[in-house]
Amino acid sequence: MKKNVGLHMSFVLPALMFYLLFVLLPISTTFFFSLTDWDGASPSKNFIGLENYWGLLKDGVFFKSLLHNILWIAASITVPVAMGLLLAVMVSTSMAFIPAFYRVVYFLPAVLSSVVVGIIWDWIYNPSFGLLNSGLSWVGLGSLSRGWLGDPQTVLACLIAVGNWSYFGFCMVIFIAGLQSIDPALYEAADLDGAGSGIKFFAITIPLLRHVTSLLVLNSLIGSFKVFDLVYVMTRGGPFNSSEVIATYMFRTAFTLNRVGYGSAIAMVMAMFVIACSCAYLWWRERDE
Amino acid sequence: MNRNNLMGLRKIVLNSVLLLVAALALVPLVMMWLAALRPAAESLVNPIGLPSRLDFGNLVEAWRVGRMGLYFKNSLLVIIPRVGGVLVLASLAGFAFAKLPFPCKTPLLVLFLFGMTLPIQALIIPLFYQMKNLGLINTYASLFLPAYGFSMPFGIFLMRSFFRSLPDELLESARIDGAGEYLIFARIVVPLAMPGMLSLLVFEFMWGWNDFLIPLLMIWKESMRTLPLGVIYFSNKYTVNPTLVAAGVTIVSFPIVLVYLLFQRGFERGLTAGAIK
Repeated sequence: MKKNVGLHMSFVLPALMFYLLFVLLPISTTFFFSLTDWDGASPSKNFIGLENYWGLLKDGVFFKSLLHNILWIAASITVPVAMGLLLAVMVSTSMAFIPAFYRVVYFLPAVLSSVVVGIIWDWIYNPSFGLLNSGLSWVGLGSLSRGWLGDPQTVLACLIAVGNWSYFGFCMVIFIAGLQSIDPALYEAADLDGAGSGIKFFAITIPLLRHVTSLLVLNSLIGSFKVFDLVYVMTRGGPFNSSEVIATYMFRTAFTLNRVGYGSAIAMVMAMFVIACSCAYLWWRERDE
Repeated sequence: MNRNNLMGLRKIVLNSVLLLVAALALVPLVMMWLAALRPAAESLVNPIGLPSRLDFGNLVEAWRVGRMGLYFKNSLLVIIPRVGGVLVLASLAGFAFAKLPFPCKTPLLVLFLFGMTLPIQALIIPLFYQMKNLGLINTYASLFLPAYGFSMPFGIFLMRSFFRSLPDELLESARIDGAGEYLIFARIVVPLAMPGMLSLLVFEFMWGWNDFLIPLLMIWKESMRTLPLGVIYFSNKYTVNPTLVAAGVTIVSFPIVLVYLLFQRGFERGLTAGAIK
């Protein structure tokens, strides 16, 4: 057995090497950078302790970005998850015409690059030829039309809607898998007792999907905290930080303003939050095994 | 009779709702594809409705003038080593974690699990300087090498869950016949775990093809841009020519939609293996 140890380790070592180099080394370095005032160019990095983190506490833009992430979270743990649940139940009934078609189409937005999604919705929100404004004037609500992404009042809601658009299909796929694991005998028994579909939904489906729902809520939480591409592509956080999120603020601070130390502190705060939520997610997932 | 009518009505309402949501999911993309095939003369008068005839000239123009052909080639030259490398690394390690004894197995597995919790944004600042110091800025390697690290947690756990379901007796009998572990892996394990490999392949393809943040950081040279990066600069440059932008978007989105439609089962299997198990 002993002589096999080297052989067996040789299956894991290549993966481990890359993982050390491109994941564990960078995360440790982010932490190290966050304790310095490095500007990305100067040869010396001055150790300043937790000063960057104290700075964050007094940073209005940071809190504004954090608030936007929280609003993003609030929307995406409710709307797409609820939509996914309802659609999964509807697609799984015998009344749906071509279940496979619905499933494929609903998940389609989730496979698109955020660059593609961003450009598509940029068009829809376009003030001069966008589908949204033309649609509004077509139904007689032309007075509501505006430059959706240029207006600080509407820009964040518009971005969140796009995020949810590309996410509800994922929720549906996961709920469908959850539904398939429910014993059909439960529904048959309920049928015999004369229960209607509403009662079955609230008394069987919802309680038995509790676990899947928690997973999706945690997943939305993590995803909403990490959101970057879509915001960067569509608004870069503007106008006037009104769609700034933590990730775009971190990116701008570290790479445009060259405040590498401060940007790393933002990245660390983000990492702590995401790690905490991910641990909860993994704990939930493994609990039943 | 009433009961039948009621059922019919419910069926119609249910499917109407489902179709409406399907339209919501589909129309934005299809609108873009149609805009790309719209004759240039029509695009100013009617940029979003149905085109009167299909015109592939815009796609050709975006491919040549917009250099989408070049970006497409760059994307391919990144995606091939990326997907290939991740598949090899993750399936080797996944197999070891599923079936082979070695020291520190559980701590190492937890170490990889830790990576699953890390947001990529927490890594990119040092990663950028790491690549810069290695002289890898503006290279394909700067785009696919980091994935060998980032994708390991998901890849290893996915492959491990597929390999675990293989019967131990099968491997034992091969060992008794004198087959080495690498031979067993290549001849027995990999062929049996094809569905798992396919799931990992489609996910890695999707992440690699759509990757934006890493190219945004690592690629400064126009001629090295991948498709998503290229199309963003392209859309800023040609804002006055929506048809051409739509053509660029079509060129980026078509391959991923095709892969999704072809390997749709692989996607769903990977999603549910990751989330439900």
